[in-house]
Amino acid sequence: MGRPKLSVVMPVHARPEMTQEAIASILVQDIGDFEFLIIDDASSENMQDMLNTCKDPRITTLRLPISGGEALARNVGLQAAQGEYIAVMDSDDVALPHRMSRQVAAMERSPKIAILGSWTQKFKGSKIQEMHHPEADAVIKARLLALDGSAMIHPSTMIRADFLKRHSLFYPIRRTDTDHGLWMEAMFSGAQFANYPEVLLRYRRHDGNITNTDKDRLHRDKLGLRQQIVARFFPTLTHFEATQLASVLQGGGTGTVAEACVGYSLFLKAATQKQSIFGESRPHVNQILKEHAERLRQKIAFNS
Amino acid sequence: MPKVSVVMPVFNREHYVREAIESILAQDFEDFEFIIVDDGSTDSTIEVVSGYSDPRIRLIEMPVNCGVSTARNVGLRAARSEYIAVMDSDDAALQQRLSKQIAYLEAHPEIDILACRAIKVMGSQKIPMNHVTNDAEIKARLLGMDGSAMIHPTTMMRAKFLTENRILYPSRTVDEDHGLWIAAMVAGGKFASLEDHLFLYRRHASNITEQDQKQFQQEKTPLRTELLGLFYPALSGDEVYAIAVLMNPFSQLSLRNASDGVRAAFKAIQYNDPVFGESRPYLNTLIGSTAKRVITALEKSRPPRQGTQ
Repeated sequence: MGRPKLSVVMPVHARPEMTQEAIASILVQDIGDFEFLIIDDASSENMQDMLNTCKDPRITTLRLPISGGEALARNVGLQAAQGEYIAVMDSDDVALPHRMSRQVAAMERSPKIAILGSWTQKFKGSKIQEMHHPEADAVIKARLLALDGSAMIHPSTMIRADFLKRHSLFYPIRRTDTDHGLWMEAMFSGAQFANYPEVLLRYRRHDGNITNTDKDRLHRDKLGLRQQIVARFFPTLTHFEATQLASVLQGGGTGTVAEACVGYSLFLKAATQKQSIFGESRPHVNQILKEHAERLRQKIAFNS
Repeated sequence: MPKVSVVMPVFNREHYVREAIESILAQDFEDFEFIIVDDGSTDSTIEVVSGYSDPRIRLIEMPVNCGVSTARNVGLRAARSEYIAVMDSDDAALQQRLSKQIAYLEAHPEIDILACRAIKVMGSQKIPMNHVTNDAEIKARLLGMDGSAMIHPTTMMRAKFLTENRILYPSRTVDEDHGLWIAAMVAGGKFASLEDHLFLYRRHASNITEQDQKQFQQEKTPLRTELLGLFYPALSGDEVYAIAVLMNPFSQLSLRNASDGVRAAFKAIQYNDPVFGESRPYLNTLIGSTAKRVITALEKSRPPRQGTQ
């Protein structure tokens, strides 16, 4: 077999039942020309038993000798993938049968797009909700500043492998938001993004998703990433100011009036950057700033 | 638990790996585990490693070639000891490397990452390298990104410091060592180096093309920009980037780039307060001489003035 068109890359770690459903949803795709790389991040025996029952010539299981975490496992997948496109998949989600064919066709039609997400259907038990993420590159890039999952849904994305190779891009080794880390680096390297305007993935939410556990730590982990994008979106700010602005965007801090004043002033300074740097929509960026600034303005006005 | 975990990634090094392994097994400090991470070698490396029956060796095999940064991280995750000794598969540690480094770290609990001096081996030539030994000089030299701060495989790290601050090697194809050191510095880490030469650092006959050189230098710009931002928190993102571009000897500078860089460099050297304990005089010299190099080049390219001899 020559180079496959597509590599589906899915790290697995826990929850064999959900993983089995995810695997089945890939094997019944309406196109067949893909390799399916399952990165077994040193999972339990239960998981291995389940994986052993999944017999399909397209599946290659790469078992890590030591659990390395999500980002490391995904990088192993990127390194091993041979396809022209890489479909990101999570082991607790379900791809609709036409996901791969739709996204591959769209990538072929639009050679400038480096990363393509899609609309998704969020579900938790019997509760479902459609999520229509923005289609336009400029809006997606601006939403990266919000760092809240409103830009793209990671497991819905398909990536042009050559773009990553050309710019030596990998998932940054972080505990959280490694997806945003990769997207930011891709944006800094000139990537274009889009979301396919049709639901192609069922995106499962469950109690195992990282939510309230260790919120403080998550907060700090996010701050570094925010600092990076703030510094690049607002290059006239000093490193010190960019760190402060990131912290205000994060909503952290002690909440004093003095702090609010500094934050409010920084928002005003940042909003003077009118020129798009990476193709991001500046009106949209400023909208995000404005929402935060308004919160601070009210705080100051209320206290004085 | 052994006192120290020696972590060595290896990829297709069948000719050199024996010397590296034997140099560790022959250490005068014996209480170690030796984690060898095979990064998907396709030559006889695994057979060579498996040929050693020393129970302290733990061979970990990656399922495919994952790159040195991933292999090192897997090694770090597998390590169980108080100290982690970095090792490369084409080098050799002298017999007292582990014992002297451990003795120093035991006596200096404030130090988190400890290097030692190395002897560069090029063919039959052996040249002792005299790296700086104190925290301030090491940190300032990180900005050079030229191997003058520390020789990575000579380092020993305090495992607790890494895990508490969640420090791992960044996913980069080059300079992953500097990436880790920057994270360590930001987390408040302290560096030092022993004065003793305890390591043979092999340099191979260079078949690196100028194109590769340009690519390597290019990839240093993001890390230099990050470091400059950290060392000069009062400079703007535009300014630190302009200095980073100036520092790349292969940059094709427009007059605008050169001017922005020189102005930012002159501004930078006004700031003399250490942020992480780094040596400001060294930073000033490095940045000042970079600006001077560019200015001299501009002067040379200026057409001769009319009316003078």
